[in-house]
Amino acid sequence: MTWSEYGRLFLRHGWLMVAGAAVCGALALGLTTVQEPVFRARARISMIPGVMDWRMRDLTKELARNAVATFPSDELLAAVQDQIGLQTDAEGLRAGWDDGELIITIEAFAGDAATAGILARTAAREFHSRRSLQFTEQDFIEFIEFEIRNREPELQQIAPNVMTNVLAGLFVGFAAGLALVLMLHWRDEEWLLTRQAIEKSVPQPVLGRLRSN
Amino acid sequence: MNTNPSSRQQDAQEQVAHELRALRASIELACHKPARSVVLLSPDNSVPTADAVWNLGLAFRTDTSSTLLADSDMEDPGLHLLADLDLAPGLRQWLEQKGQPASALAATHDHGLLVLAAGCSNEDPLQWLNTESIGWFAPALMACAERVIWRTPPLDQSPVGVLLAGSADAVLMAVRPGHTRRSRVNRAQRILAQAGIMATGTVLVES
Repeated sequence: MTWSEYGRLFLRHGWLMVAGAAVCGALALGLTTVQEPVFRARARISMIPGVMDWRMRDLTKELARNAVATFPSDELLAAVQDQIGLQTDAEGLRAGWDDGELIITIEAFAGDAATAGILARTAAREFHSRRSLQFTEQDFIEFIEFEIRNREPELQQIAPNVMTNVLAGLFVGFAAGLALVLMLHWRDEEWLLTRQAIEKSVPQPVLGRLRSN
Repeated sequence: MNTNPSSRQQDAQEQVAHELRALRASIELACHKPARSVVLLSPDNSVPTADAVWNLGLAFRTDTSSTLLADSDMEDPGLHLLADLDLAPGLRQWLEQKGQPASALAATHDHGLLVLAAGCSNEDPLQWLNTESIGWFAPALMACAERVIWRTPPLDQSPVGVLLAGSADAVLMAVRPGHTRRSRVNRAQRILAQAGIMATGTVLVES
């Protein structure tokens, strides 16, 4: 197919892509209004070596990575549930480690901002106290500066994300419309539905038409 | 806009007549001479060739010259039904007896066309229509009428159409939009090309 043929095709059927994008965008917007909100609360705990040499820095990183990998332990989860009086599972808590900033991030997810905040605050406090105890027992605490940086977690609504949903809907609708246009074109070409398709398929001119009775 | 049913019907008939005249002119212009023998080919059985040949006969019909429609599709004959004639005697009997073709011809009363029915059904036409017999039966038929239009079996079922097309003035490829697949048309074109035949043009057969 030449570019001009593509152009004619999209002029003829392009409205399908626009309509598909509009319909799917509207559906996505509608879905957004019924989607359950999800809030994220984030607490940050710094874990900085007291002495800035490579050995201590590496040791700190290893300890932090281990702490993040085992987060949340069953004991920590049970303790958090006891303190806040809410049932939550391991999916609602997450930890991450930033190698550059030497920060452990504790994230909590919940359907309302208050619960997420309490969950993150409690989990961070519990994590800090348990690890502090552990580092003390292992004689690391003198060498590591380990403290919660923000007592009030940062709150953010992460779902529904209206812009992402609408953009995804528009994209899916546009792609579906494009697929439909190409299928219609294939149908026209394969079943010789248009005079242009016939004239492309046969080298001889179309001389006329006969009606079947 | 005309809302009278009889006027609308008349308009439609005039439209059809105009299309037939235009088709005839296009065919004769495309083959650069009066088309005395015309073969209508179809890539597959998606095209109602009996109807198409019948209407093609009407397109070529004149008061001063006779037009003969010959049905070579001995597997699935159809012209005799449109002409309201018996299936036999027809082409098969004439070829079998090698007699005079006039004995097998029948004239339609209302349309002024001569019709040579297939003469049989569910038989392989290659038994009778082959490279040996074409040397005598094609000229014999041409002697019976000013113009002969052949209905042929679909090209994906029998090569009889190719055989007849080799000695025809005009070879028309019939395509039914929405029913005939491009792949079949391409295959039919390859079959014709292998035989060194170039179709004169394409005819759309529409309901």
